[in-house]
Amino acid sequence: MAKRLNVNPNRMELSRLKKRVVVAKRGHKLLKDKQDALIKAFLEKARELKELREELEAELSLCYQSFLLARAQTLPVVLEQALMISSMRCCIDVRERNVMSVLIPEYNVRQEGEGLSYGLANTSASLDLSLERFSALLPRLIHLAAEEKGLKLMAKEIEKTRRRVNALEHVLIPSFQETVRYITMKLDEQERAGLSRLMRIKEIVRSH
Amino acid sequence: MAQSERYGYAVSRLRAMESRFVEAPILQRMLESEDLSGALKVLGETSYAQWMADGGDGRFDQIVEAELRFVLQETHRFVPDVELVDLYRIPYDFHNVKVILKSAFRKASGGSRRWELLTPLGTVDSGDLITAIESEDYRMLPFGLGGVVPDCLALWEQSGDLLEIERRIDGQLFKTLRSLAAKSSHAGIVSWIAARIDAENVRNLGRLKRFNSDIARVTSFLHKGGHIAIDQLLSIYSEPFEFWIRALTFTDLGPTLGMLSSKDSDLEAILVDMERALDDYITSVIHRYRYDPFAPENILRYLWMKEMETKNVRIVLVGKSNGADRNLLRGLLRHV
Repeated sequence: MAKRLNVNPNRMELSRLKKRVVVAKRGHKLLKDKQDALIKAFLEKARELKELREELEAELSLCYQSFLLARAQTLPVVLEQALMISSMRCCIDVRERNVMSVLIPEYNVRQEGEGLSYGLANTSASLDLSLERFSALLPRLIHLAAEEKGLKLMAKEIEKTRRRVNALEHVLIPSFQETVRYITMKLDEQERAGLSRLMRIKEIVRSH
Repeated sequence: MAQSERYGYAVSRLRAMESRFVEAPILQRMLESEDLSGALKVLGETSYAQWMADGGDGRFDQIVEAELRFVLQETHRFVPDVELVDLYRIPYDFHNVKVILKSAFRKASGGSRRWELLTPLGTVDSGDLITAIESEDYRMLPFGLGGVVPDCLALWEQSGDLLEIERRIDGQLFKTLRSLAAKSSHAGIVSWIAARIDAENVRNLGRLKRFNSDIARVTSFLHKGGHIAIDQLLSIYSEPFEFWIRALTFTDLGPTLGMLSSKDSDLEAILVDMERALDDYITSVIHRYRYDPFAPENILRYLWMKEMETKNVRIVLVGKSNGADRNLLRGLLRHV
C-alpha cells in the first residue's frame, strides 16, 4: 500500500492534491511516451552501431595485418625510429546534437600535413599501406566512438526516465491518490459528524 | 700473403658458419608450430639457443638482435678488411643519427629523448654520435654526416620538413656506401651496392607512385650509382606497372620484376611481393661469388644472408605471436 502524505485533511489540500494527481498522470504519460521513443531510437541505433562496429573491426584487423607485415620485416628500433615524429596533425571540432534531451557529441576530424614523414630506405611498403589505412580509418573510428558515447548517454537517459516513470507510477501517484482518498474520507467523516451533531442539537432544542 | 689468398681463411670460416644458418626446414617447422612458444622451442635447436637462456617468449626481438650483433663482432675479428663488415653496418650508424636528430626535435618541442632506440650494430659508438651532435661539433661525425646534420637541423628549424631530412640522410647513406665500395676496388662489391641502389630505386618508385608524388619529388628520392639510369626509371614512372616490367626486361632486375607480373595487378599487393623479390635479387647478385673460395664478396654475402635469416626468423616469430596466417608468413620469407 502506498504511503500517505503527511498533510492536513482539508478541502484546500484536497483540491491541491487532485490537481497534482492530474499533473502527475500527464507527466507520467509524457515520460512513458519519451521512454518508449528513446527505447525505439536506442534499439535502432544499437543495431546500426553493431554493424558499423563489425565493419570497422574488420577494417582495423586489415590495418593491423599490414602493420604486422611492416613490423615483421623491420627491426623494432628502426620501425620506432621511423614513427618517432609525425608531420601529420589531427584536429577535432566538437559539437553536440540534442536527441530527445540527450546531448550526443559530434566530432569533425581533419587531418592536416604530409602523410609520409619517414625515410624510405629502412622502412617497408607495408608500413605505408598500414599507416594509410589507419589514417583513413581514424575519422570513422572517432565517429563510431561518438555514436557509441551517444548510445551510452541514451541508455542512461532511458534508465533515468524509467526511474521517473516508475516513481510516478508506483510511488507518487498512488500516494497522492491515497492521500486524496484519506482526505475525502476525513472530510466525509467530518461532514457526517457535523450532520449528526446538528441533528442532535436540533433534537435537544425540540425537546425543550 | 697474396691479395687473393688473404680471404681464403675468412671465406672457409664463413662457409663453416653458414652451416649454422636457420634454413628452410627449420623455418617450416617454426611455421607449423602451434604458437610462439612452440616456434621458440624449434629456434632453440639453432645457434640462437645461446641467447635464449633468460627471459620470456616476448623477448624474441632481443634474441634476434643479439645473434646479429654476435655475428657482426665475430666476422669483424677475422675478416682481413674490416671495411667490408663496416659496409654492412653503416646503415645502423645512419639509423642512430636519425634517432639522435629526432630526439633533438622532440626535446625542442617538449618531448623526451629516445636513446633506447639507438642500436649497437653500427660502426661508431652511439655515445660519440650523441656527443658530436649535442655539442655541435659536427666535424666528429663520420661518413660525410658533418655536412648533412647541420643542414638537417637548419631545415627542421626553417620548415619542419621531416621527409626532406630523411631523404638527405638516406641520400648520404647511399653515397657513402658507393664511395666505400669503390674504395674497396672489388668489382663484386661495387656491383652489389649498385644492385642495392637499383632495388632501392625501384622500390621507392613504386612506393611514391602510390602516393601520386610529382616527378620532381620522385627524382630527389632516386639514388645515383645503380646499374639502371635514373632517367630510365623516371621515364617509366607515369606508366602502369605492367609497362615497368617491359621497360626493365633487359636490365638485371627484369627476371625479378617479371615474376611479379603474373601474380597480381593490384599495386599494393605488388609492392609487398616486390620487396621480397628485390631482397632475393640482391641475394642473387652476391650469390655469384659463393663458389669462389678467395672472393671477399663472400663476406658481404654471408652478412647479407644472415640479415635475411634474421628477417625470416623475425617474420615467423612476429607472425606467431600475433596469430598470423601461415601462408601469409610463408609468402614473406626471403630466400637464404
